[in-house]
Amino acid sequence: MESNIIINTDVVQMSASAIVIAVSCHGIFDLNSDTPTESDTLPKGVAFSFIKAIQAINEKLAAKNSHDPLFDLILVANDLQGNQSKVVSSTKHYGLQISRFCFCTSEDFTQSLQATNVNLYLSMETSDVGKALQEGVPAALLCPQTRPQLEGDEEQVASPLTVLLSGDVMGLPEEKLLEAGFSQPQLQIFRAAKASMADFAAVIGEMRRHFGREDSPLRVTLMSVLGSRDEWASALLTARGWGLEVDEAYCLAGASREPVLKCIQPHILCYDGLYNVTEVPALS
Amino acid sequence: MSGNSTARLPPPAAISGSSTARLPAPLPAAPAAISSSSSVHSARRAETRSKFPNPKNCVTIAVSPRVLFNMDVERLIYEQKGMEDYLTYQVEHEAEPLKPGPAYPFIKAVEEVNMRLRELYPDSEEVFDVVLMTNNHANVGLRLINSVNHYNLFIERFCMTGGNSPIGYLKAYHTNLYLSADAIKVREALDEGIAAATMFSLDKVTEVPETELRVAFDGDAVLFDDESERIFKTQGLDKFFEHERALADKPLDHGPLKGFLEALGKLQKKFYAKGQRLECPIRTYLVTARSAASSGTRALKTLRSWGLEIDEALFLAGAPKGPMLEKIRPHIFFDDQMFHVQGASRMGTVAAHVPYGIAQRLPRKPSVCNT
Repeated sequence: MESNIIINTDVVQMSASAIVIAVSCHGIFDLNSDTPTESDTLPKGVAFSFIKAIQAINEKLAAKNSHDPLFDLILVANDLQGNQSKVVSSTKHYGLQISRFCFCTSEDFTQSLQATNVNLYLSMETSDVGKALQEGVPAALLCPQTRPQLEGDEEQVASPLTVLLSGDVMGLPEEKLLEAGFSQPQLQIFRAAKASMADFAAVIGEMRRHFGREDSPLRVTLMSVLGSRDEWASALLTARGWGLEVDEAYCLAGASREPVLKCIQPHILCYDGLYNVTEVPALS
Repeated sequence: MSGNSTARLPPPAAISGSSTARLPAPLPAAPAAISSSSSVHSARRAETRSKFPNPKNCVTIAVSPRVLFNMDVERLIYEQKGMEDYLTYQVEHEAEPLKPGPAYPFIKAVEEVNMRLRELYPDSEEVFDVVLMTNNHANVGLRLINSVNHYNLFIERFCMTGGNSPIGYLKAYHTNLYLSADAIKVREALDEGIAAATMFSLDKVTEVPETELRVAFDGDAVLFDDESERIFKTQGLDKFFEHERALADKPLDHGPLKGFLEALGKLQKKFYAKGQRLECPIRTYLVTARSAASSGTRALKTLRSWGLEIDEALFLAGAPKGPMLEKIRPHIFFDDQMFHVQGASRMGTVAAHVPYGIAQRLPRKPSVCNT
């Protein structure tokens, strides 16, 4: 078998109980940068701060000296062709606590992920996330951070890792989506997202419990875009039933989610296949 | 907040499926059961609500649950015992609807206007939209939903920021008016150009009409900017009159609530367009210390230059506002001076403080006027 998992020798490998997150390197690094690099270091990408946020969580957990499982990061790169060494050297340059690299193609990356027992796969590409979900790999969107990133000394405190769960996946009955005219492919992704959500919620919920109400390096947000307030209530109850503590909750009832997302600045966004960026009227 | 925040969250109340292990079981998980408390009105709701309006087109009122409802007891628990006890209390009392707060009659009247608007314009998005805006933690959400259901309020948009400032969200929702119990947030909203006012719990509340929304505004530093008020406060009454006379034809600059009056005016015109000027369910009032004979002219001319109408203008020439407001019975009265807000409240009018302008730095001297 072709081994496409490379270990980062600069970093201590984690135990098997760690929570494995495989994240696509597009977004962590800027692979399309026009500026010619003399060194082997890629510029930071729009989602670079995600790594910092994860590291902040691990640091806080390690400081408690408990044996709570940490996050274990794998950097995934599809179809890189030649930039592989740059990804590795950039990771080492920034001192990122990434334990493994997975170089694969867009055809076989889901198999590679399944082989690593990944708890969550993150990518900025909805097509990758959709494919992973449909093949049974828990997956979500990695979001670009649009707030200006602090550099240097100010960078000390990372903004908390913000996870945004879909209240629509948790609270909307499928019949309503069918009535509203969503397509079968969209519904398939919706169902796949729903299937993996309970496990993911359990993982995040457990992690959230390690920290207090305020100043937590991890924040859980629940947002309903299409559902009514009663469906949002249903989602809140579902979260409670899973033992998941939600910090922030929004019911948009059909309002455009983009302006609200800009305020929340999630790192991880649950992809439910219902829409991309266009406004969708609420279901009546 | 106090420094005794726990290092870890309390253990989960319920795990693995059942949601009733430790929490009192007020709400079944099925959505149908949650909306049954409003079954009488749910049919009417379904008819009148075609789809939720785009925030850009409607008049958005963001209201804090602390002013829509009465959360005094809960607030006391938060201040005395801290966040965890507060949240536990809220969750334990989830099935218990909150009592109405100072903004409740205003929001109810706003909904009446919406129903009238939808009768005349069934497909229009130019209606009021009420958003529940709070930096409360999501755990309080279910109690808020239950309370909204209990009173059959048409609030579908909720924004619970879990400790973060709601100011950015106000902009995201194109908020036309923000009502809160927190003066600091209100000031921040005003700084961002959003009409906002602080509301307070009331002991005595006069009954207000249910079928006509009445909104009363002070003039200076509310509808108008504080240019003239600054003259009055720093140079006295005579200088103020002189200044106003000299500039009688020059419109005042706009104040923080001009935009909201404008939004009300747009909705009023929709009733006029259908021949309902006399039965228009929105009525606006100017209640100002200016005098009709002199300084009042500039106020009226300014409104006219803005193309804005006001239904009734009451020039009190310095007389206390309380008795006049008691006669008008508005659902809400906006004033920049706490002196007037308190005077109105004492007589049962719901008064909201707009912390704008010179009056915040030079509060009224007690000897000037009697209450």
